[in-house]
Amino acid sequence: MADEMDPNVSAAYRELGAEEPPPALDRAILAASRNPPARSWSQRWAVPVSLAAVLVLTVGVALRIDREAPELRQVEAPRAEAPAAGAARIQEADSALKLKAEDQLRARAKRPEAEAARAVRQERPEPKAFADAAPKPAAPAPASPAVAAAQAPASTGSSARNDVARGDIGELARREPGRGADAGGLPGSPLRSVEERTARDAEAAARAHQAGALLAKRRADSPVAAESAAAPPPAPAAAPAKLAPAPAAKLAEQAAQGPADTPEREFERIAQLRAAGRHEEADKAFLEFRRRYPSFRITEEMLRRVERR
Amino acid sequence: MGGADEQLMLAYREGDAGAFEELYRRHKGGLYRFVTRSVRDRAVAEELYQEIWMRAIEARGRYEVQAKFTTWLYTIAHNRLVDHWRKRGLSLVSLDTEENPAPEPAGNPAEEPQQIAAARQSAARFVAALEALPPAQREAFLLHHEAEMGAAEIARATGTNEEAAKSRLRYAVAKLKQAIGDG
Repeated sequence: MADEMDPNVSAAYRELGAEEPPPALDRAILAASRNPPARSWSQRWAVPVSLAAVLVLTVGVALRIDREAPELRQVEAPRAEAPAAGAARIQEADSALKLKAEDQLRARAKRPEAEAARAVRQERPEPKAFADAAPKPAAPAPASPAVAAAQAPASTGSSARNDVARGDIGELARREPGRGADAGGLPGSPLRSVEERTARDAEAAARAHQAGALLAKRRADSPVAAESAAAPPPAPAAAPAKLAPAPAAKLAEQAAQGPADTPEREFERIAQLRAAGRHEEADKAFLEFRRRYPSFRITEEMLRRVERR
Repeated sequence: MGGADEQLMLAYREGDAGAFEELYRRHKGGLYRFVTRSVRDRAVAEELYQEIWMRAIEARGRYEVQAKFTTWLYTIAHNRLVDHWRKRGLSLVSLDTEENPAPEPAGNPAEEPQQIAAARQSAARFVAALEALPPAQREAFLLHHEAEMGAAEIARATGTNEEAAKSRLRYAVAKLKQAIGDG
């Protein structure tokens, strides 16, 4: 320290004098030292009050989370399962669609040109939104009610949507905004409807394939039947599977199952009974039909199909 | 009342008011000059001086002998000055802008008027040089002269290292020496 100090500097500093605090200040400080000022309320209670506030907040938040947790768990649990289950279902539906498309291609290749064209017209009474997007040669014929169900609002989820990027299911999923593959894991979801519909369509396509072959043969045998088949379909809005011709035994079986849900289908059922030679049943059904649908307009051509000859 | 400063403070912690009076008597002048020569405004300096002692009184219950009493007391003073400068947005700035005149140098009335005038001029130059020092250097110089601290104690009281304290002190002395024409 001696190195840093200079005697002249120290002397010059000492010459500034030895000031002392004013006596009033001395008295004030000494008085305070004898009676130290009490700590103010805020100083005394600041820490305990802060701790209590933190404790209350923590307990409050914990209770709130606990109360809301069951709802959160209910929401989170299905979502956690959904991607895996959804992906499996998508694969199933995808392969079903491919099989169906192959069947249809084979069936159409065997049919006569006119028959194939008509079948395509009948199988596609689809909503406009799907008509221009469906793959042309092997497109599945979406059944209207199923599509309507699939278009119902669903819970959103986009994580698995990329998994659906191929095939018709992928096409459908992309065309239905706000839907993801994970939604398929939830009961009653649109994707599930699509899957069910796909399975039904596959069955219908197989039936149509068999029926098409039989119908072609029958038309060749019977001019009346050919004329009847050439007539415009009485109910263009009917489902493709129902409109497609079926083997006589199967048709009769279907016709005997009871009245259909629309007049057009019911009429078609009676015509099938008549064609199958079950005239008694056809007569009874036609009478019942006239009673149930008195205002239904029946053209002469249609009448020839259901009347006993 | 005798005894080391630390013992007095411990006695005061235990309720001995007389021990504090003795401590106060010993250190009031040095601390007062340290503060008034750090903060030129006399009213502000006296307020700070009182607050420093009040903090020492309030902290008596937590007092432990970990260093010299002066180091503890001047650490409180250093912190209070830093707070004061921060409040004014001055961050250890020079005190040149403050308005109070420099204190009159101590003089002997028997001296000749010329000598008195020369002494006053010399003191004024010294005061001006002291005030012109960077605050950290001035603080180190004042701690050395008023609290009789070495570099290590200065470092401890001001929260720096010993080398920095030494350096500050060396620079301060060099500048003051130059100001009094001795450099």
